[in-house]
Amino acid sequence: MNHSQTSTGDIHAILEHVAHLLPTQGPIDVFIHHNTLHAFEDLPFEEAVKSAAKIYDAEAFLPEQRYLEEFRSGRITERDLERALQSHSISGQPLGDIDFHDVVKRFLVVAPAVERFQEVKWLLRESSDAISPQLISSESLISWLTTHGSCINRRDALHRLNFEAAESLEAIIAALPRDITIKDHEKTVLWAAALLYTAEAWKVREPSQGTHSRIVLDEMINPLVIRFCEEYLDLGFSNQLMPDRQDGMLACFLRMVDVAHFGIPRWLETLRRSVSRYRVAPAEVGSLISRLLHDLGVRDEDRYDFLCREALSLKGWAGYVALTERRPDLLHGQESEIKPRFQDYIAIRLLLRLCAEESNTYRSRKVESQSDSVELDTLDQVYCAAFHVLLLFTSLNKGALLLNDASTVLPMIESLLLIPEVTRRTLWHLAYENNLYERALNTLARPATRTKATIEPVAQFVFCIDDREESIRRHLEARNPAYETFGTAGFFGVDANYTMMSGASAPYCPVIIQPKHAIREIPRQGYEQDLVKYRKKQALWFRLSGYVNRGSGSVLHNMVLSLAGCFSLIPMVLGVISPRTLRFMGSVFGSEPTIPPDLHELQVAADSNAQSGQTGYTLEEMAARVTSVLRGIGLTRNFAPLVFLIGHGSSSRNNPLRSAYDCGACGGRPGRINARAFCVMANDANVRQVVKERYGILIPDTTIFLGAFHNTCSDQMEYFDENRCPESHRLSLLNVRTDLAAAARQNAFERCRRFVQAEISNAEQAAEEALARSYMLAEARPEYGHATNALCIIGPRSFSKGLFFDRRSFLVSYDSSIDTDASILLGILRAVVPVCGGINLEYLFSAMDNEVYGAGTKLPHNIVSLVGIMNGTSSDLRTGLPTQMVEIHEPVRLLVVVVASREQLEQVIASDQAINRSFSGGWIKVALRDPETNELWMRAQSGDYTRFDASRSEVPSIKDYESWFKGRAGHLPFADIVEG
Amino acid sequence: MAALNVLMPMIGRLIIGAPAIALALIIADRVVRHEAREMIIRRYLMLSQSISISAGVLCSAWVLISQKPLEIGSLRLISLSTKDLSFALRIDSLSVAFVLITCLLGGIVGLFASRYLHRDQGYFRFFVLYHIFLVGVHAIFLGAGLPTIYIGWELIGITSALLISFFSFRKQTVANSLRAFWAYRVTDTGILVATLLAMHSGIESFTSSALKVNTSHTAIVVACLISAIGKSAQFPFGRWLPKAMEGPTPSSAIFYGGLSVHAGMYLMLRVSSVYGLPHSISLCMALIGLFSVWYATIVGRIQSDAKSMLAYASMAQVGLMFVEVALGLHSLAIFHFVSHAMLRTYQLLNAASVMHDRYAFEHVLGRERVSFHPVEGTRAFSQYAYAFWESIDGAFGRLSLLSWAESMARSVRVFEEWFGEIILSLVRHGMFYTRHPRKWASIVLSRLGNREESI
Repeated sequence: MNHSQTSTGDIHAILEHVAHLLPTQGPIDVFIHHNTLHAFEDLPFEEAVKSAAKIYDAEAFLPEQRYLEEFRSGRITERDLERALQSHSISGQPLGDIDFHDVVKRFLVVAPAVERFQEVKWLLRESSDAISPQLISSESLISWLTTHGSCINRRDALHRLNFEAAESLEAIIAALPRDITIKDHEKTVLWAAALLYTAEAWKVREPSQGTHSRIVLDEMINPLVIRFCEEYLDLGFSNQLMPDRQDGMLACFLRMVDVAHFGIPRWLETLRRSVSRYRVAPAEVGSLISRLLHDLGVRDEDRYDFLCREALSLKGWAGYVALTERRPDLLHGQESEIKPRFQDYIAIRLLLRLCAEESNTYRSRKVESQSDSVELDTLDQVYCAAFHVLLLFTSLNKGALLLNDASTVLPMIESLLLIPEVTRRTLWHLAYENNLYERALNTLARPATRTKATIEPVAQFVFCIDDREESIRRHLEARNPAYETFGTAGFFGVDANYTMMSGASAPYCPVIIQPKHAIREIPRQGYEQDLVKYRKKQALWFRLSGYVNRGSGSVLHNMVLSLAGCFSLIPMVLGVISPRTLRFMGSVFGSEPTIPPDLHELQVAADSNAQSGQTGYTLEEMAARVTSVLRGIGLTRNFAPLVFLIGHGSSSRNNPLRSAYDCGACGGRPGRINARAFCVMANDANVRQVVKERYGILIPDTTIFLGAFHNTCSDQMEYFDENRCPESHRLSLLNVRTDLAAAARQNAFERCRRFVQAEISNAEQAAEEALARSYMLAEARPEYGHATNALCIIGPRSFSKGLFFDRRSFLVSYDSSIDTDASILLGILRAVVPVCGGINLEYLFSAMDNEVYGAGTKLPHNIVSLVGIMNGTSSDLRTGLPTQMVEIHEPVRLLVVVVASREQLEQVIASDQAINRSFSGGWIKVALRDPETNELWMRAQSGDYTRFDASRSEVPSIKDYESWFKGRAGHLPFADIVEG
Repeated sequence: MAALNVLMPMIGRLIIGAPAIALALIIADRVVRHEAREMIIRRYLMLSQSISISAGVLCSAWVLISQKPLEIGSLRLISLSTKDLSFALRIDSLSVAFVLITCLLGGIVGLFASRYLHRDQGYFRFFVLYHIFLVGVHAIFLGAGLPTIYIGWELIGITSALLISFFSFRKQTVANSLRAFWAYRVTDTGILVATLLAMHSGIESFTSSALKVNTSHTAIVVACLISAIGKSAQFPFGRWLPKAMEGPTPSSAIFYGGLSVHAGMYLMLRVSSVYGLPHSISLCMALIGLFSVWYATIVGRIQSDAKSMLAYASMAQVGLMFVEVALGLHSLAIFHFVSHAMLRTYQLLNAASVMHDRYAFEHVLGRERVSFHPVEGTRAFSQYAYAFWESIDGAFGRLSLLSWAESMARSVRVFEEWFGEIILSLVRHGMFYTRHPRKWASIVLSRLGNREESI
């Protein structure tokens, strides 16, 4: 007992560490993008990727073959590889007159596309008849063999290579030292032997850890844990929820075991009989864990590893438990009933493991003995490495020379083979990223001379910084040079809880903000009757559809429902064949969850006679919010008569991750309310008065702010409170709306090129396709979301206007000239680093290893307990993004380009810990464009700046966007539009 | 008229012929091209399904108008000295609804999948299996004799197992697929025995039905019942069904919501109308059905993921159909099938929209739970009905907990999981109601009175 007393404290500390490694994804009705490897944020990026790969058993970077494909397609060039090698400290002896870096470069480039020696043999044999493209580089080897060696023809050469390398290794290695004067054809053999000899030394030294028994036991434990978690954590999906959940996880579990006289597997009988031994008070769980660890025979020093593996076995569920324990507010107000506790979870697992081990020792022992397949793999790797080196020397065309000089060559080979695979991948990855960064900076190096400030702006549009809005902004600007666009975080400074007419309430702001205010939906005067009618219709529709989609828990109901079920043919057929008809029918019946903006208003101002609880904003608070947004985007003078605030969101059907497509700055929700609420504030004459007096920003009386909403999936626009627009502005409003609609169609056209299935030849078709997708029942990818994100440009629009960034850049408006103390930049980076950085890293890791960091393919996904998704009916909770969202993603780190002075940037980095960590750890790359000198600087992780010499000639010039993207499906080069 | 008499069988052959030819073309294209081309597969699918649907509609209309079965044709497979084994097809008033629904759902779900599986590595494999499945289902519903049904039966069995393990790189899917496969293997012996028995007595074809009930008839029906139980996931072989939801959503929908799961019920419908249904067997069948309904409903109520919930709901409804067939309510059973197949397929295809529903509910109705009373007018009635049902449910649960199950189940180790789950959920019901008698009463009362206050 003393033993467990002393170590309970340790257990708590260990569990805290372990919980830190788990994914932090809450209920998926709100999907928050975040850095998947948040537990490793203190390490530099590359280190973090490597250690995470070890802990989670994941891929570090992409497979080499993928990079090779990119190399062959020209996405990675030799120059990029050289740069990557320079930045990475790899050293070795030069080979004759060839620099070591060159050798490494060639070595990377000639990597064969094989994994097993059987494949090498097969390749060689097959290619003797028809050389496959992968072996082109071995062509020179063959020619060398036929000309210098004693081989008569190609076939013979290949055969010899194949035969000798494979069959007579042992003998050759034994004969190696005394053989000096050998004939040419035997040199081939010598080569193979020498390579293999060194390769032998390089052999992977990681011992097999005997994890087989663990896996077998996990297969017994996990289904039970999954079932239990599903039911315990249910947020209200099942018809009959588990009773008495407030007693805690462990108590509930033990009670289930206790009462289940028949229902439990035989191996749990021992647990059932001794259940009372484990009933402990919540505070005692730590010592229970310590006791169980002791019973399991885990030594004190192994505890961390053991518990780590225990938690990571079902990391989705464990992570959810740990997260909701810390943040009970995520439980949809059910925190008094559901009490997730990570300690309890671990204790349950250990209890089950103890039972499983006791009952199953013979089985696990049997499995442990079969582990010789590992060695076979190693041997395969050796053969493949030899083949790889062979290809290298043939491609260097130095075969003949090098053969005679084994003493320098052998150490060389060794040092090459000693470069671990993960380092090779890192090099490739750096090259891969570098290529993109250089292209982006080359494009951005355009002199910012196009300041046609003489044009009076007709309308100004404030969009979200989202990368998906980059294209619509371009198309909008192209329609009228007197349109100005801005980008700011899509919650427009409105940090409030939104209380819907139904009584439900949700925060519509970034997750890091705890809202202190509330915005209410209230009926619009004169429309109360219509509203009541509409809400009735809506309620009827949603009750009906909820009923049909889910059924109920009673036989009678289900029978009636299934006898009336033939009507479901209508939505099924239409949802597959003609989603637009379905949409039309839905609009007749009131199938939109939101209330039409004509029927209701927002109450933003504080209500003096409101009851207790949160209330709206005071005059001063409103003025502060309006000012901070306007100053942030640099819009302090030169107001246009019409200023649009455009929120965004996405509508899709049959999509468990619908929230991942909505606005991240609005906390994974659509940004309708925020845009509308901002306009209510900014149009208020009293607010403007305060803004003018206190902050010195004069908003002319002729200027009116209008809220709008861009649906990034269907590319439809919505407008709010147009009735507030005075008569004098009506005409220009009409024009702007026409232009916005046209820009949205163009945007749909640009988007649709990514969808391989869609055969689209003009913008009208594209608009229809986009609309159909958002209602299609059978659509696994309604839109591609942030799949193209790679850049973030913080600066005035004049620097990026007219540049084609292929929807790959977050665009943040920022004017460094009015930001003397760098406070605005600080505010921007405080939002950009977690939001854009989080989006970028989530996509990056989900694409890097979709099975471990991502959610796998969407096809078998199944929603569980309103908490998350599983594959099929019994799997770990899948976190991250599914294959269908990341398949076109290029996993590169975000490059933030800031248009500001070096002092401003450094001041910001020094003043904020999180920003500093992201930049110095290389999680986000930074570049700087000096607004005075127009020079571009790359900021290294160490904080040093290196000047970037742009070559503008490499940036293609295009006449208009449409001709550039039309009919091309892949990522496009960045381009510069030429005027005229 | 005479021309039509010649023409209709040929059209009938298209129902099953179109998917078979599409299957051949898809494989041929793959073999010739060395790659799977989505567009080509999609086109063959759409073409063959339109042909199949049109042919199905025409033939059904013909059967319904002429009021007599349509003999589509017969293909001799094996010729023995005393006996021919032939693949014979016909449509009659019993199978007409099944054929129509198969054509319809086959087309819709095929179209759904052709889009949903876009860019998946197993696109080709999926559609090969899908077409084999369609041929199999058509063989069952069009089959004019037990041998034909048997062939179809095996085809859908094997495709079902292969599609469950579609993502074979995950261990769980393979294990679950094996489980379904074994359930099929064991119970398929029934239909095999039935077929052999029928052929032995020369009554394998459904046309010669005007025979009196005799022992071999009874044996055939019993053997068929065993197979039907397996395919339709009834007690005691039904546990594989919720585990079978591992494949891509469209295959889950058409197999376990739409067609495959109803094959057993169709078989019983067919053999009972051909060979008769002795009272003892019909009682047995009704009990199996009832027990499955009861079990699936109770266990289904505690499921907390969308697909398991729907799987149990399927099991329960098919159980009801078993009862209907056993009671001789053939028209009701057929109507029930038609409606249920459509509903369940839709629900499964739509299973991923739970989060949309939740979002909408939050906006429209606040955070109350999904309501069970969709239509305002029927609310009062359904409230009373529900309260009544609820109280029976509860009482039944407690009764069984105390007397029956506890003593019996321990001895039946074989059905460990079946009983285990029942007991668990019963215990949960029992615990809930006995611990909170007031809560229970308030639930019942609130159902009767003001519903908004419930839970």
